[in-house]
Amino acid sequence: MIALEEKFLVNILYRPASEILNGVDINTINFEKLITLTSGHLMLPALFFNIQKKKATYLFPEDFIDYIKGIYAINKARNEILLEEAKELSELLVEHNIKHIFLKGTALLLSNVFEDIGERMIGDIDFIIQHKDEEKIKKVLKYNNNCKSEKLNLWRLFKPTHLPKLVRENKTIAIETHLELLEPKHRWIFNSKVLSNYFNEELKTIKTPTTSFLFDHCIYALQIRDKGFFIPYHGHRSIYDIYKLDCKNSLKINNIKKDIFKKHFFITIEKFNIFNLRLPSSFWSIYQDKILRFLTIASFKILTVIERNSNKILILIQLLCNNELRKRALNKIRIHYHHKTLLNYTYRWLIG
Amino acid sequence: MKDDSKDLTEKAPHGITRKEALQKMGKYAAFTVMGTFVILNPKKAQAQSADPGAGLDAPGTDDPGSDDPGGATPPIPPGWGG
Repeated sequence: MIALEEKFLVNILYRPASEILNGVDINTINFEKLITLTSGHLMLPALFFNIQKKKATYLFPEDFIDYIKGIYAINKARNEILLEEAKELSELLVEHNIKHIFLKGTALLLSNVFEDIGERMIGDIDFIIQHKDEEKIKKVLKYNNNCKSEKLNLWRLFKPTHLPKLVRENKTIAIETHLELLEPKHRWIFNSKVLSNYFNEELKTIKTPTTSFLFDHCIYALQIRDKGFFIPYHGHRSIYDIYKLDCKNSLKINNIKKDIFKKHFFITIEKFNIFNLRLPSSFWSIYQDKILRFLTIASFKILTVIERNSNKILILIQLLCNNELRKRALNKIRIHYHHKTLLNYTYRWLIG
Repeated sequence: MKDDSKDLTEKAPHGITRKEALQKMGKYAAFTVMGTFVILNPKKAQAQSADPGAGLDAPGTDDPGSDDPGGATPPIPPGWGG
């Protein structure tokens, strides 16, 4: 069941002007709810852009249009700064011989995927570098090395997905330097090796990946990192990105069918009828999908259990090897152990 | 109550009251999910949440929308497309 406001939002964003009121009675639309829904998906600027483009302002209260127009204007001004800062950053990195590729919202904006630069809300400038350039970029961008966590973690054996977010001096937009595309436990599905061709090319500024890579990254990030595969969640910002990317090849049914994450993304949003895809709906194919999804989720759960237990073991190893940490832990336990039997045991065991 | 009315009338250094700012922004600001303001002006959004009594700069930069009047706030889309 799709809420009326969401149905209306989908019509405005993805359908031609003549179909905006399809299945919607404008008198029953709650505009406050529409604002809450649209802003929750970070789509207010895109909503304004499409209302204006499709000449549908007459359908809305005047103060509603004024408000979203204000949000759109601020976002457009911010994106102009973002593009300028991304170009400056790119020049700085080329100067220091660091190969880099822009990702996510910044890459979409730089690739002119959107008709208007004010449409897309972007939090920070994301780009990826090669592992070998990690130390170099820390010096160039003046990363503070003190922020490293002391805590041991199984995944610290792998490269982090990105360095801490950083706002450079006299700059407005935060930058996020990626070393990988997804978290370590998900890298067997999608990783930076797909970008090796780009890194083999000569060094140049403002490098963006192909639309087919942006399509894949958008879906994997939403399905895996943002857990769209495990919980019933859809984000209109990602759907709109995919819609704007207009990947004719990636949107071929055979391409989608063989990848469970892509397939699940399109099954989740099938109810909106945005993409003209006819996913197989026979009893056998639905049954097969369910089994495959169950197995994938089970393997993720097993990985989580392994991660949790290995982290516990690592903490214990740390407690045994690091005298200072053990002292701090003992102090804490000493305060509480009178009341807690388990802590009492742990305390005695550690003392022993 | 007294504090609330003081909050609404107290002028920020740049000469606009919270009440005036809310009027300027319109009622829809109260229905806007915080994430929108955080993206549009992350530094200001952080400062506002740390100091709720602070003044306003321009429409869209404050966070009156952090209250969720309807309690029907959809989740802020997780990080993709930062």
